[in-house]
Amino acid sequence: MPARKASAAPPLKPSVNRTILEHLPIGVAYLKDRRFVWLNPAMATMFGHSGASLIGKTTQSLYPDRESYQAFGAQAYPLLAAGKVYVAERTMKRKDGTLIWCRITGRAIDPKRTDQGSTWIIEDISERHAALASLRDTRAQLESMLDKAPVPFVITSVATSAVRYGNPRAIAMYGGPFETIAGQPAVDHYVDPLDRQRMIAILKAQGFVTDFETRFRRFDGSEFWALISCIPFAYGDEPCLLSTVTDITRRKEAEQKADEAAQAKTHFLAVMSHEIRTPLNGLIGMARLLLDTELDQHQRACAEVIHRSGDALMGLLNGILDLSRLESGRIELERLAFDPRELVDDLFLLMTPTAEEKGLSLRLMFDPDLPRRVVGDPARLRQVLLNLISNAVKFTEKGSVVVTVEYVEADDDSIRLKFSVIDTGIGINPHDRARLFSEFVQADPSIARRFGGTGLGLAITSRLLDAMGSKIEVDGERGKGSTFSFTIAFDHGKASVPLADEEAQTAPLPSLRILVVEDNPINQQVIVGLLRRFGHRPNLAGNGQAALRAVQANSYDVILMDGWMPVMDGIEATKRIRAMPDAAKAQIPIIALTANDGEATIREYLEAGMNGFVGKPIVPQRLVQALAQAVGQSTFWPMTVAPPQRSEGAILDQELVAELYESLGPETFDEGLRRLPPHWRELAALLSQAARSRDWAAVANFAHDFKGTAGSFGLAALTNLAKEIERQAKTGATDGLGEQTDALTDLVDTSLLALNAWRMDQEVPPS
Amino acid sequence: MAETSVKPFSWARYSFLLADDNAEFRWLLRSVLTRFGVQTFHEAANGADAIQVLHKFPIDVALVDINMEPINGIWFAQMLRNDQANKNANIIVVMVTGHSTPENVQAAREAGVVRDFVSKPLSAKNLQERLTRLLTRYPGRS
Repeated sequence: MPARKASAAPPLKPSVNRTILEHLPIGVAYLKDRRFVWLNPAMATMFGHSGASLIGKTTQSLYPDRESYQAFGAQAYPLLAAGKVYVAERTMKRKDGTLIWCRITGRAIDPKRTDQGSTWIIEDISERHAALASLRDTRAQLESMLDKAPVPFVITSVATSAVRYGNPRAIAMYGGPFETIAGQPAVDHYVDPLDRQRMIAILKAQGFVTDFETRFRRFDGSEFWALISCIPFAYGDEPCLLSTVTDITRRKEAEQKADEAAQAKTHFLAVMSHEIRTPLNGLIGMARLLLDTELDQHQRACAEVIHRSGDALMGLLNGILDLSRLESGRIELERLAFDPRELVDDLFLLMTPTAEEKGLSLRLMFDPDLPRRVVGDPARLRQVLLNLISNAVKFTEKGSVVVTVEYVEADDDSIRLKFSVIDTGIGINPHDRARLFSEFVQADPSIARRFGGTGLGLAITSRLLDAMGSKIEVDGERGKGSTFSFTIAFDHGKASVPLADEEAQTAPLPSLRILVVEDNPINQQVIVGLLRRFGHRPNLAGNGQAALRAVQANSYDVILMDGWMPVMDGIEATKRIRAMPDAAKAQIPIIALTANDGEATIREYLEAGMNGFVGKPIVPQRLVQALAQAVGQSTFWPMTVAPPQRSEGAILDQELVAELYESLGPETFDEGLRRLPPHWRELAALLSQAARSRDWAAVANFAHDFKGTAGSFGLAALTNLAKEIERQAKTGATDGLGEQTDALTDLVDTSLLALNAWRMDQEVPPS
Repeated sequence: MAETSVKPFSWARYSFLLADDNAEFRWLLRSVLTRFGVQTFHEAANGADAIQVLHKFPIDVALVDINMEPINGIWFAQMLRNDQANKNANIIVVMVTGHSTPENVQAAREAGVVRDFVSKPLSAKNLQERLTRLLTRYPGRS
């Protein structure tokens, strides 16, 4: 037997060696000069050859082609000769021609002696490779799809938000080349990083995210509004998010602009409210005053039309402004006690003529259990019912309109009533019901044309009901009539709540000296006209400063103060009056004239020291009430040295004239009766002239001249008028002064008649 | 306040100045005073003229309207205070007012010379009472 070389490890039995080699699951081969010296069964099987057939052959048959065999050799063997292990992955060919991916590892037995050969391991990695390839394929496919997509797509790691992929649109949106984005955390682009967490929370909750709005920052630092939708996505083997990101900056800006426009509109309407109401109040007030004078039939008819038109215009204006206020949520409901039956009865009376003209029957049905008194906002309830009833009458050509009030239920705090308006009109189909309540839409444009109307009514109605905690219900269908109903919870009436229609039960007031502080000339006229009609003596001041001067110069019983005026407003003026050192003047009752003022403003008035308020347009009864209250509360006595005025309305003060008669004696008295009338008539004429040439200083002087003589003769009315003219001329409140001076001339004649009559009554006959 | 000796007086003894720019009112005052018994009257239509009268004649009582023009009653009173040429330093000045305001009253009092106020419309009774009260304490001309 040939001697064996000693080896490092104790030699295994040849049979064991052989077993090991035969059963290795990897292909192993021993090559010399690239020819198989030995190979294990696994190697043969891998390539579909029988082991025996390969012994002595080159490995070329395992290569796909001659070129690859040679290329491999050129790459591998130099390294082997350098003593290195060569590893490569490449395709190899099986006997049947199929290609498999293999991982090949080789090593020279002895790098210095190539004739000794090399050992090789070959592993079939086809499966893994295919998987990897397919993976890469899928990615490539996806990327090619997304590359072409017209929407920005981004794939980011869920865990780290690292950007794995961005399509060209996305890259453009971020503002940077992909290379800078790739791998960078996308969360850095969120202006608020917490937003990304929020988004992932939503993702976890519902499995996807749609329309998530957040602000993004580009590479250049600029920000934009982003809308994100995303789904979880396995990108290769990493949990990622596939997201679309859209730049919605323009849309956001448009939204903001729309909001601002809506606010501006509301503000505009509020301002216009005041501007439009003022002359309108004047118009209505003047019409009322006009109707109180002597008019012939034709004039009266004209004046009535003016009044009604003014009212209608005001109603329309209020409708528009109500709507805008309702929209901005600035409506405050009243709490007044009223009788629901009475309220509906009133409307019934109002609508009966119209219904009768159309040949419709208008009926009321009241639940017998209705309370006589509930607490709520009767004016607004009336507005709602009026709108519904008038709509019902408008849209019903024949048949009936029935209004019902039902008692629903009650508890300790409230009582619920249901109001319904049922008609046999054209009806509304369910489709159109929702549109009914938006402004300017009636169910069918052709209907709107046929029946007319601005369409505002229902919109206001539905919002009013909203504010009252109720909502409108509509029933019925096209051709079968409609039912509109709503239920409101009212409070039970408690004694302290004022009655809605409480009449002013006050005794007639004595003639008061009233200072009216109001800047608008039309309002001035209306208020002064009203006050004079009630027998008071109004003076005018055009602003707070003029008011202060007037208060200092004269004595007043009450002051009516407008809130907002130029130069000095009502609140400032009130504060200054209240701060006057003269206690009597400081305590003059001041009533605020408020136009649409909110609760906060009214509180301001009261804090400044005003005693009460009357709203504009002025309701005569309310004004009288307020004056009565003011004077009743007042402990102020006018500070004059003159004897207290008796029976101010009278032409002749009997006591005074008697006193003078006694003092002068009949002869001298009669002398006076000869001298003074021409003097007074002359004064009156001069006064009128001065007023017409607007020489107010002269007017004041002439007026003053009356006081001494006419007053002493007991000509009370004449003296008072002269005093008033003087005051007005002095304080610059000269509107309407012309008429007053004319009135003075008449009053002189009247007074002389009275004086002469009185003289005739005395015992000693005139000389 | 100590009363000076009360003398029964006769209206006829006193000379009156009526200062008012309204002639008819002066007539009225004059008529009323005549009925009291006054016999001596001087009249002026403004404050300056009134001062002239006081320089020329000794006047016991001056009834002065506050509202004359150009020199009104208050200025008249102020001028009088420093007036050396006034023939009667004890003169009783009564201001006649259309209506009294605190400012007027204050201003008149500050002038120092004004003893009382009477307002229009004229009440003869009132005038008589006030003048009587003043004249019973009147020490006479200086």
